[in-house]
Amino acid sequence: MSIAPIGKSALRTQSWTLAIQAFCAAVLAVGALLLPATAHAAPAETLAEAGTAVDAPAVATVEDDALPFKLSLPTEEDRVAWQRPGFRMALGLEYGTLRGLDGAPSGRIFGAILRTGARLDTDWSLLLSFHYASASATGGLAALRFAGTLDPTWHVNEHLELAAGVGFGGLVESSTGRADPYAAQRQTLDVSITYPKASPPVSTCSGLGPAGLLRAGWMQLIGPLASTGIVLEVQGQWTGCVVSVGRTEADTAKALVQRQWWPLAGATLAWMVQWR
Amino acid sequence: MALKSRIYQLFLLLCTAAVFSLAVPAFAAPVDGQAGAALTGPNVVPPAPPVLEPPKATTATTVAYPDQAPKHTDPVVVRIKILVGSDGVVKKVNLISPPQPIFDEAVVAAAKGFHFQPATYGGKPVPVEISFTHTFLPPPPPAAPPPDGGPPLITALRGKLVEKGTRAPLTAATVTAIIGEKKYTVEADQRGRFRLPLPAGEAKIVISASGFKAFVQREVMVPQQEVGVAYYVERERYDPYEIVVYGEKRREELSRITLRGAEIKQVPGTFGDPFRVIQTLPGVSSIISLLPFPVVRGASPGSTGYLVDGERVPLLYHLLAGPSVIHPEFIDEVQFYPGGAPVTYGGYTAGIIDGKTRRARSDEQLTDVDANLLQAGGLIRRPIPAIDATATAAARVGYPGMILSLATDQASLSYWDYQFRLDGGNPRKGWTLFAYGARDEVDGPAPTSTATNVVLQPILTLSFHRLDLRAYYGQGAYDATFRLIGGLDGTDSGGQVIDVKVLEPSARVRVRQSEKLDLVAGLEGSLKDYTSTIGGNTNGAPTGITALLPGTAIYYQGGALAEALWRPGPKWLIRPGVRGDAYYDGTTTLKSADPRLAVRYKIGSRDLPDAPTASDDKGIWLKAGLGVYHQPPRLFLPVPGYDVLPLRFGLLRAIQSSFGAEIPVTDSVQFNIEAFYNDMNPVVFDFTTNASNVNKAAVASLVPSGTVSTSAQDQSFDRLLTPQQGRAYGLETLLRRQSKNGLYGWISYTLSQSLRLRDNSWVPYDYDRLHLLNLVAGLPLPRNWDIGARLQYQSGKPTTTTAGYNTARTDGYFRLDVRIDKRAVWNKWLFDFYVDLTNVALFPEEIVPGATIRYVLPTIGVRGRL
Repeated sequence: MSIAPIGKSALRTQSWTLAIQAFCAAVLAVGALLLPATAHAAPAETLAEAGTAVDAPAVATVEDDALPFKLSLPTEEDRVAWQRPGFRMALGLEYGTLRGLDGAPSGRIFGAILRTGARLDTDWSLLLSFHYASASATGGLAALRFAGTLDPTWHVNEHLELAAGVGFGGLVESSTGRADPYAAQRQTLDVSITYPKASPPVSTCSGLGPAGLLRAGWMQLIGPLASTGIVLEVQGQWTGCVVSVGRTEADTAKALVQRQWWPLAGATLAWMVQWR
Repeated sequence: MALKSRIYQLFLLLCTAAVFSLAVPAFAAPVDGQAGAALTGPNVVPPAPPVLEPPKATTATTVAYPDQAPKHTDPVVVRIKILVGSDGVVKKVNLISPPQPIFDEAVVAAAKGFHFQPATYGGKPVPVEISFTHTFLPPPPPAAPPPDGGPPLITALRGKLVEKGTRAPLTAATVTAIIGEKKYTVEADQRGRFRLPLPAGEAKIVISASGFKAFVQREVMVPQQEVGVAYYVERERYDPYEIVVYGEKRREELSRITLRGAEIKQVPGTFGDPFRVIQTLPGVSSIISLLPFPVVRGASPGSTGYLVDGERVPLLYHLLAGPSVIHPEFIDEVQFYPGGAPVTYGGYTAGIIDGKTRRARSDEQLTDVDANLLQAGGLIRRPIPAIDATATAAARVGYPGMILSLATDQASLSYWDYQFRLDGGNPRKGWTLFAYGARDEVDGPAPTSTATNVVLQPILTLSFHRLDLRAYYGQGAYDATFRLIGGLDGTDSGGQVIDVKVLEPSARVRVRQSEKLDLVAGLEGSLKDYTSTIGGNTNGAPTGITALLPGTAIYYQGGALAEALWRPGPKWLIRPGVRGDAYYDGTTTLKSADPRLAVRYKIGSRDLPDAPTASDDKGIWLKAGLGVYHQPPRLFLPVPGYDVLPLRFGLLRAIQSSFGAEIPVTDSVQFNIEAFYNDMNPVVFDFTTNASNVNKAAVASLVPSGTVSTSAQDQSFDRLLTPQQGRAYGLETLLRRQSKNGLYGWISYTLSQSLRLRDNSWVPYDYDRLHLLNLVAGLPLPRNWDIGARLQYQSGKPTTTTAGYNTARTDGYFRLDVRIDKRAVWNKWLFDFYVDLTNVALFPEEIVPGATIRYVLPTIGVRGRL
């Protein structure tokens, strides 16, 4: 059985998939939850059938199914509802840049965000963010960039929120088109090797490492169940790249690999829709 | 060869497609939980599926506002669980909402006085646990008594109360109108209707009902006029799994794990597919984490039965790895036997995965539509009074090729499936007609294709159809079921066609001789008329697996079974049984006899207040089993037409033994531990892919293409066809929490080893994994949220080194999945959506040494339900 690592086309498709799903999420944002939250209340029907007895109004003649329906009036302000503790989920689209440091390659970021967690009280939330994006540039990254961070979030006021998060982040690359500075060495390696610097970068990078972010968001309530807003994030990650040379140690069957650590930092702007 | 290459192509396509979304919608259907073991088995008659009727309140379920209640401005919500006994009396009340003194006491005290018409299961009263929520609204300011008794009631508010989203009538609700400082109240009737005479003026309307959100409206009451209105009141939570049956379970099975409700439809990483959940249970490892074909207790996937109501499904998953071919709404629960299956299951030497459907209730109506990035479908259920039956029809169309086209123009995938079901009569005297089928198509470049003008044509189609007729008859101590199944299976690989016509009658009777003894007997038959345009090459060296197939053949199988469930005392269950099967394919006759014995012994009981007095749930059980299992040769993956291979390859046999214990930790937490030893001799068509030695490449195909050699026993194709000897042993543990309203999930851990005898020494099986760990957790949250997570770890697979065959292992892998479900409530229908992230951290998985994949499958699904 032979299964190739994720290829460039697959990465491109992942990006498309993410974009499509994010688009669907945006549609859902409006369709699924906003409308129920703003469902109209029909006016009550007043029956004109007059009764003659002062204390015994006439029996209605309208069938039950024809009765106009009404929903409850709001029982609390949206702002108060959003400050209540409870579960939160947000989906969003992000766009920005990821810069390779110390010689690591760079790329533009376009992808999706899933953020979920709990509003703890009026001031604080504890959220978990997942980022999946394409990071690409000619001669630079051709990667799926992913990250997951735990973000304590401070709600400065009804609109502004600030957060800092730490977690994991990584890249998955396949055929990048970058030159392979270690091609000759790749043919002769009989043990795995770790390069001490990020320059020159390996031709492909797939790996994981620590990541962190700082976030500032401006959210606008659009009902008791949904809000939307713009989020600015500054991100950093230190990715342990692993490149298989395609051979294994004969005695142990462990893959022979080249390793390299890439420091990367970036900034993105995201549009988010959040539900409670 | 063509099929081999087609399947291999399909596999590669699926691996590519796996990078994209694989999605089926989350189906959160109301569940009629089932209690007790069922009389079920493969290729035999399933039991009449019992129906649960929930308890109905016979007294008012109102709660008086406590006199000493502290002042509050917001509604106070109190949630409790009520255990309703089989006599309709409330046995126990548990508070599940955070403490709110005085309010809690008022609700608990009131609930203890409720009385119900008991729930029934299969027509018999059973204890059940239900949730109950009461909302205390802030009391209005005290009204000064009018000096003249109040204004004249010269108008009225009339209408009905309706549950928002489902349009069910809202009963046991209070309508309060506040005009000025005076309150007027009325109780809605059993149809949710009310009429409240009022004075003229502006009225504030407040509706309070247990389990519903506060409802407030304003009405202008005009003299001599009546206002008619329907109020849509929203529930606190729309839980699709309303009732959990605790049972009076009589534990009759040795190693069965039954999953239902959210456990099979909301586990992360399964895309809402009930059958995929099995891969999180003890004893189950994977070939590759995304492929849904389990290696159960170290046996090849072809030795595990994939069944629906005991009937083998020729193609359980679309395109072998996509969504299952049965609409999840039909699947009520999934029963999994990692081993020790009773004699009612024949034809498999490893595990049993049996999806149980349920009878639709006679008054049940449902319309359900769903869509996601890969497929769209719908289901409709309606009663048909003219024939005293309920009809359910469903169909789905898959379009994964649309997504795949973003990556390549060289291939496309599509599929569809359908189900139609009629349930007539009642569970003890009724009948069921169930027709279902599916078709998958893989397209590849046509011969006329060019690099610039790619024309696709079908290169592989898989299809099957089944018509399953069942009749149930029960009277007194007797229960009989009769079943007739007809079917068509087909595989077309570029014009090379296999067609199989299937006819399978069966009958089964269960007799309760006494409280201590139940007897079961059954007869089964199977006829498979097989025609192929690619087989018949039995002379000379075969060049591929398809060459081993006959041109035409008729496979006959007949079986008989008998078993007893003997309880010599309250602590014992002794279950001996035997089944005999005979197989004939026109040239070869094979026979098998499978005696099996399962014993359970209760060494003690735990004091569990929520469990019924006589329930087996309270017991600490020791259990042991020993049995013989045979199966005909079949391909290791379920492909229509390959269900039975020529009998000249011989029957596979396994002797399964196990010993374990079941320990209730609390009312909702159970710990199971089980050690097993399976002797497999012979093993044929064992799924193997590893290289025999380092000088030989690994087998790069699911279907090896080597030639049969008399000397080179290291050829994988030889290993496929040559009877081998295998054994597997291990220890399985399962700590499981079942809950309707709170945290549910399980931790399963398996330490095991599966070996094959090779050159007179035991070596690990190609897909042996030493450690298997799964953590599954789900939590319902307020406002109709559900969240879940799943963490999986599996040890690496054996691999060949210079030291010899399978002397090292690949790296193990982790996988973390998360899922979020939300149910939004519209006025007259419900709208669900979910986000499911499989392998959120893109943990690497080493498929073969040096080849690692990282993937994430983000999925979004939506569903409308009315």
